[in-house]
Amino acid sequence: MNLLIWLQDSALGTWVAGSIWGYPIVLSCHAVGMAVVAGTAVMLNLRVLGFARNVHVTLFDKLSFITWAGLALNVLTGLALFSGDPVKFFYHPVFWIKISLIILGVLSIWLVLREIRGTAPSPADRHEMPAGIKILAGFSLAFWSTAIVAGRLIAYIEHINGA
Amino acid sequence: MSDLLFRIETSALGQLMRDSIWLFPMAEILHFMGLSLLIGSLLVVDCRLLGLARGFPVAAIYKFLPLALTGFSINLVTGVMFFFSDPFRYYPNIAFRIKMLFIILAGFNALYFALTTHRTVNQPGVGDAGTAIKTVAGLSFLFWIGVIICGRMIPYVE
Repeated sequence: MNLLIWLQDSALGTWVAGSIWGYPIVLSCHAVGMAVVAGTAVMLNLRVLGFARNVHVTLFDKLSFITWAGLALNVLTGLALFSGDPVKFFYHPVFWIKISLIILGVLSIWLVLREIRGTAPSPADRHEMPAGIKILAGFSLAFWSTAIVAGRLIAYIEHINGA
Repeated sequence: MSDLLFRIETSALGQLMRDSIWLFPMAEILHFMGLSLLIGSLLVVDCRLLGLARGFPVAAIYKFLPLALTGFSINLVTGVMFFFSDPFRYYPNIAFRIKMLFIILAGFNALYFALTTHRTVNQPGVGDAGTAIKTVAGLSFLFWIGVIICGRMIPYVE
């Protein structure tokens, strides 16, 4: 894959892989972004599932920019980490499982938030979400939890085809 | 001190952490999940206290705080497991020490919040949270971000 080699030799790739602080700094920012994205996604999904009913669900529409900001941070830091060792990540099966779970996780919270925006902000407490959205929120919790599991396992499971 | 560290290292838990190939990665996964719970719930509460989403009653949003405590408890247990696996590695590590300092600061900050300021906005319908509580909310962010960054740095400053 020429693209992988190009990425590895790019300024970003050599900085992440070669400098003393490049990798740890980007990795730290990636951990902060993970806590922001997965953390707020979990809060949103728990509320949809019925936790803290007295908080109107539209709160999470107001706070959704935080989730998207965290996601933007992690797309950027993730790309930087990837360019530090593109061949390793590209041929790592767990890496692609993690990316798939994140795509599913993002899609699920986007759909849940879209449903919430359709909810007229009313002063009435104890707002109940439709069953379909609750099921989606349950899946979303599973996607984000397993994305964290997969992310951590990348460090422990060596790539299989030895590329 | 090294006597205590030696006893920690040779303890049953320390032995178990080193003998098992899956216990350490499992604890790490839980540590990351606990971290997400902690940060997620604090973000919801702190953002409200800082003045975002003023229409929502603070008292109701405090329902998210037990999740922060749950996350912290998970991370306290798994963190102790890491420390027991290799105390001579963690104890002198500068990133580990600064991380512990940030946790203590965050702890005092939370204690101050619990004992005093939260009462001032603990009535339904109160909009602005006041300067003291906003400072507490802002500091909470900074301290926990410090905890995450220092924690992630531990393997790289040895």
